[in-house]
Amino acid sequence: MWDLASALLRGLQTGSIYAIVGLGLNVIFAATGVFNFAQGELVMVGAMLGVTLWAAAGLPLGLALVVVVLATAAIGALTEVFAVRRLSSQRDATLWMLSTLGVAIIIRSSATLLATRNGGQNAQRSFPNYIKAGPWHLGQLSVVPQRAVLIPIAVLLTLAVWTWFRRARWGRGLLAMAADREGAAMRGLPVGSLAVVAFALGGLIAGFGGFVGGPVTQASTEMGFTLTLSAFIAATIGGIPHLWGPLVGGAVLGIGQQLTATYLGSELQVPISLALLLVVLAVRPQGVLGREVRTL
Amino acid sequence: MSAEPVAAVTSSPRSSPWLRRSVPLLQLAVVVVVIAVLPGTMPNTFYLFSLTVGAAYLPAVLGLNLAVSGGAVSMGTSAFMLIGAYAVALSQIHWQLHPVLGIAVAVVICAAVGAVTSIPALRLGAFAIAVVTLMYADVVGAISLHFRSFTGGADGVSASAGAVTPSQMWLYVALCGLGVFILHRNLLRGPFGRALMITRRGEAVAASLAVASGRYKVAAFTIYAALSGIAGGLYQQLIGPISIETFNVGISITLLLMVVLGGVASVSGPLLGTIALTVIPMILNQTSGSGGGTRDLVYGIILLLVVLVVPKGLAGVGRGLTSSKLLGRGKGGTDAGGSSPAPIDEHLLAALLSEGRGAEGGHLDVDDVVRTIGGLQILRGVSMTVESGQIAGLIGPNGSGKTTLLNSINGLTPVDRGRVSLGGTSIDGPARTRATAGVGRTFQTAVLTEQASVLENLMVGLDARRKASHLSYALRLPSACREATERHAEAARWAAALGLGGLLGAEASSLTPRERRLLEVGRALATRPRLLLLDEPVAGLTGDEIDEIVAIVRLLRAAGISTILVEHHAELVMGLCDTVTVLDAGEVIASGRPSVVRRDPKVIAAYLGDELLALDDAPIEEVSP
Repeated sequence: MWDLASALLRGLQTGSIYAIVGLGLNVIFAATGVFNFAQGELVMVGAMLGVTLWAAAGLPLGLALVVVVLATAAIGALTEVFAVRRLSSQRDATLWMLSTLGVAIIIRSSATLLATRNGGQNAQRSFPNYIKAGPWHLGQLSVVPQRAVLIPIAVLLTLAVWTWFRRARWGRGLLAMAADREGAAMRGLPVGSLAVVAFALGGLIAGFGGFVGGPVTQASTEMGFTLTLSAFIAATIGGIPHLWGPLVGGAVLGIGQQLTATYLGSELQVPISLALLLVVLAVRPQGVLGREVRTL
Repeated sequence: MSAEPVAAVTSSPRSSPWLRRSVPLLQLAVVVVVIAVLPGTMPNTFYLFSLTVGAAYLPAVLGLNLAVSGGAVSMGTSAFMLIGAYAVALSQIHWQLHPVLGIAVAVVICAAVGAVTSIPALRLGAFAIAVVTLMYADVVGAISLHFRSFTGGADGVSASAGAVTPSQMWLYVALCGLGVFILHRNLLRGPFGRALMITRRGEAVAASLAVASGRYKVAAFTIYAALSGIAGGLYQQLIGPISIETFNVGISITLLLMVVLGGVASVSGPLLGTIALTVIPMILNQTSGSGGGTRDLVYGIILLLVVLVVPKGLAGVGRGLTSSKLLGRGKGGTDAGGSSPAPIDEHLLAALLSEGRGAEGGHLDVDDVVRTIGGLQILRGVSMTVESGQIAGLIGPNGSGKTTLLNSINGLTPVDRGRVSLGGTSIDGPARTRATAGVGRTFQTAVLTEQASVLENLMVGLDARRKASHLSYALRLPSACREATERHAEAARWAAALGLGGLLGAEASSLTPRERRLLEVGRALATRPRLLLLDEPVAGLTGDEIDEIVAIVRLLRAAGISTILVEHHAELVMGLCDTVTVLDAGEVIASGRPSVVRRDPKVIAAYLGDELLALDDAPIEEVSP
């Protein structure tokens, strides 16, 4: 019983990280029709740069966070300008997929080179807690505030992005692009700039997720691919490109993984995740919240 | 790919068939000799080992090229290599099977796994396929950890190739790679490769040409899985001990880079890519599978640059250097030699059309078709009839449902209600089966296989009537060779009839809008339709070019082929068509002879305005000479 409660809590906590990264994927896909393979790498940059600036270099927490999200937003924007812009309008989706994969490999290997440049073998960093309180005990359930705080953070972030899409000028532009890209271009919206904004916002969200989730994921230059995968699965389960979808999908995926680890063995987490993805695509390809089927 | 068939067709008639047949054999002999003497020329054993590793990867790279040609960018190569390696090693350890038999086991297992897993995965888009296949390796790893008593768990297993010298090993591996290369070339240059490439361009277009996209993707993925299994098995025999760490995501990406660097869907590209990414690290004293952050960084930059700057890869660069001289037209050069474009040859076209199914069976009945998208009724009970061999015009304001109606006639859009029948038989299957039944289709924007030649684009249409099996094409059996020769000749006649005779070897991407439209129409006609649906065929064309399309449509009528013409060009429709149907907001508001429809008050109010009444006084003969 307490095992189950604990698995559910841990599932929601990791699911919140998937939800944040998946939200970034969705924002970019909604506006440009492109999935950014480097999204997980930007999470990695957020965690690695965050731990370096805050824990190692001693910057104040808030300042470190601002620098990190500005950096990942800039990388996101550059990705659009240099690697995606000329390819996203073409019919052949393999092109932008390969170019963003190239960007992902470049970010990952550069980070590995930087992290190990002083002869260090280890491209991993331990990410300290930024909330020191707790743990609290509810019966046999142990709640670590540092981990549990990720759940409200993911919800509030989604709410903020959702509000921005409806209230802000640029946000409404992105919403128009998501509804009808060609129509938005014909009505004179600056679709080129909007695409850059979408990638920058996606990068910002990824860097933010890497930083705030750091104490749970820890920091490693190898962590990116897995996060891209998990985020994509979370977004797909929730319904791409529905903004609230990743929260739902992240919770399903996170809980599924933790239940697998608790009752079946942790080596089966990836097979179960893949099975979840395939089942959703077979039974409800538009996702839990989605309305129409899209070819992803 | 584009240069080869041209050589076959235009090669001088004086060269004897004997000579033509012996050239490939001679090439083969040279390659075998080179493979045999290569070990002796290597300065050290590391170089030979590196080359052998590269040759062991080659089957997987060639297979991956087939998968990517069909639009499936797989990142799960390492999973299939792992299965192959384990199959060979474990069958040797547990059942004392000979490695050759072990590789056969690997092929069977990998093909089965590839086929089963690809059926759900390939229904997805490019990104989802990449994500799903990226997880395959972890799944295989998890399974091997779970059954550790059989697989050796995390420690892995070891099986030795016995007393084989490095030179012998190279010979076996390289000859295996050569065999796979020939198979891969035959598949890519035959109907299989053409079907894969049009599938990647767009499955709707492929379906309208009777190409079963889904089956081709699954077949290509299955072949890829089997070939990756061979690569894994060869690698295991070369190395000895293997574990789930032997093949990681890095290998999958390296092999993908070999395909992309060489040139996707080209015959020689993957080979060039494999050689480049084997020899360059070799000179830097690394094997192509290993290496640290620096190598990864370089590979990432290469991947990005190739996709952005030279998407056709090394093979495309090589072709660009040679073809501009050989074929008289380089990339985009439409004015080479200053020659004016050749006109269409109406006599030849009439002759080709008369070889078709004949006048029977082109009678189309559309009965009460309803189509709803997202709660919005796009078609509200549309009925129309086209008599055999008639030209039916379909007009209406933007958004009135013209293209949706075409889509529901050729099966690209499902209908909520209603019936479509051709020649008295109900047709209700998917677009592919309707294409087989005789519904041809062109699109508002001509979608061609851009990197392939004019000839090959026409061959896609002819492939709808293919009789020889893909296996006989892969093995170049006489039946396939005979069919290929006949079809090349027929494609050349279609090209000549459409005024594209001088451009047989030109890449589709280098054609003018007129040539693209003629090629698209020719490709649809090559499938021998009974009914041809033309969606704005003259959009973007000018006076004389429009007359050519008009002439072609008249020839269709003469040959007994029914036509539906969707067009904004009202004069053209009124002058050319036997009947005109007017759609407005998903409903037929008028239908009948042009002279009647033109005066219909509802039509005038909804669409034509006064211009058509004014046109009454003008001589219509001007557009219908």
